[in-house]
Amino acid sequence: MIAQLLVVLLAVIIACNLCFIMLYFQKKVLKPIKNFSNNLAILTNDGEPIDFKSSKMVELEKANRQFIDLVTQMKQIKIDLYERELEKQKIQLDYMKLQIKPHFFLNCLTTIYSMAQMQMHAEIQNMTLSISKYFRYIFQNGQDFVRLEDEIEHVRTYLEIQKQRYRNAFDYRIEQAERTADVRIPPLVLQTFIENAMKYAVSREHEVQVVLTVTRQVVEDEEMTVIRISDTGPGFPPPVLDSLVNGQPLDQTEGTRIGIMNTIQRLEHLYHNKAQVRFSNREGGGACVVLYLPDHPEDRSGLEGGI
Amino acid sequence: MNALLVDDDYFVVTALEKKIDWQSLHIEEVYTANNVAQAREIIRNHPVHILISDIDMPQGSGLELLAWIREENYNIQAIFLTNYADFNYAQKAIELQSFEYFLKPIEFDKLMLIIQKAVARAKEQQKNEKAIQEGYFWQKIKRKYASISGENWSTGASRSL
Repeated sequence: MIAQLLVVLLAVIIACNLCFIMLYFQKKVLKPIKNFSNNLAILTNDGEPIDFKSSKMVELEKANRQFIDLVTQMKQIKIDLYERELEKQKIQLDYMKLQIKPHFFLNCLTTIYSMAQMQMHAEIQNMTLSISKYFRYIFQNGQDFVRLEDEIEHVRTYLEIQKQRYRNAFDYRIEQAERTADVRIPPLVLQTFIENAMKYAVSREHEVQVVLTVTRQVVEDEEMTVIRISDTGPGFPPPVLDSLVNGQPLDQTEGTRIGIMNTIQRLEHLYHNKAQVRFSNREGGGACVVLYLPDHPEDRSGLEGGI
Repeated sequence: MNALLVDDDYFVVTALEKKIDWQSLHIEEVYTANNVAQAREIIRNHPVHILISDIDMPQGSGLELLAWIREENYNIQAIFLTNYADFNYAQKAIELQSFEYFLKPIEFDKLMLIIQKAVARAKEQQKNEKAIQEGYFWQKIKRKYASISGENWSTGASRSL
C-alpha cells in the first residue's frame, strides 16, 4: 500500500519536475529562439531590427548582434551600389543629351531655311548632305569604342558645317601621325572639345585657328595616343581653368558644360582612370586640351548598356 | 530710321538683309553684325532704332547686348529671334523690355509685320521725346521770362486785386 503510494507520489513528483523543466525550457530556450527567428524574418524583410536585450541566452544575443551588424553592412553596400548605379545612369543620360544636341540641329535647320529664302540651291544641297552625314554618324553610334579615323572624319564634317554657318570666322587644321588611323577611342570625345572651341573661341573679330593633332607618345613606359586640341581664342577663364586642372566639377546649373564633365567621367569609367585630360591656356592666348589615351583598356565594358 | 541685324549665322543675316523690303518699312539703313562686340560698335557710332538679334551666339548673347543697351540708355526697340523655346530666355527678354520674342525660322511676312509695329512704336517714342523736350524748352523760356518781368507781374497782380 505504502509502496503503491510512494510510486504514485514519485510519478507525481516526476511529472511536476517534467512540467517545470518544460516550462523553464520554453521560457529560456524556445522563446529566445523564436524571438531570434522572428527578428531574422523582420531583418530579411528590410525592417528595422528589434532590440534583443531581453534574451537570457548569451550565445543567442551575440549571434543576434552579429547578425544585425551584418545586415547593416549589407544595407550600406546596397546603398553604395544604388548610388553607383545612379551615377552611371546620369553619365549615360548626359551622354545621350550630348549625342542628340537639339540646339545644333535647330541651328542647321534655320541655316537651311535662310538659304532657301535666298534660293541658294547649291549651298542647300551641300549643307543637307553634311548634316545627313553628321546625324547618321551620331545615331548609329552605340559602341564603347570607335576607330579614330571615323571620329576625325566626323569632326571634319562638323567643322565644315560650322564653317559654312560662320563664314570664315575660323580655320582649322587636322594633323594625324601615321599608325593612328586604327587606334580605337570612345566616340564623341574629340567632338566635345572641338565644339567647345567653337563655342568659346570663335568670334568674328579675327579669324580663329583650331588645330587638332594626333600623335603617338611613350608616357611612363606606355605607348599612348596623344590628342591635342588647341585654338587661338581667348582661352579658359582662370576660375574655370582652375577647377578643370584641380579636377573639381564645373558649375552645371545652367545646363552648360555638361559636355566636358561627361566626357571626363566617361573616360574615367572606360579607361579605369588611366586616361588623362590636361587643360591649359597657351602662351600666345587660346585654350589647349591634351588627351592621353592608353591603348587597350583592360575591360571594355566599363559602362554597360553600350555607352 | 535705322535697323541693326545681329546673328552669328552668316546666312540668317544675309537673308534678312537682302530679302526683306526695308524701304517699304521706312528703314533707311540696315547694319549687320555677327557678334555682340560688333553690334556694340555699330550702336556706338550710328543711330540705331530697331534691333533684330539672335540670342545664343558664341562670345556674348543677345540678352547681354540688350542689357548693355538699356544700361547705356539707348532708345532701341529690340526684337529677338531664337531657335529655342527656353523659358529663361523669354523671361529675361521681357525683363529687358524687348519688343518681341520669336522662334526661328520665321517667315518674312510675319517678321515684316513685327518690324512694322516696332517702327510705329519707335516713331511714337521719338514724338513723345520731342514733345517732352519742347515742353522742357517752353518751361525754360517761361522761367526766363518770369525772372525778367517777374516783379512787374506780381506788382501788377496785387494792384488789380
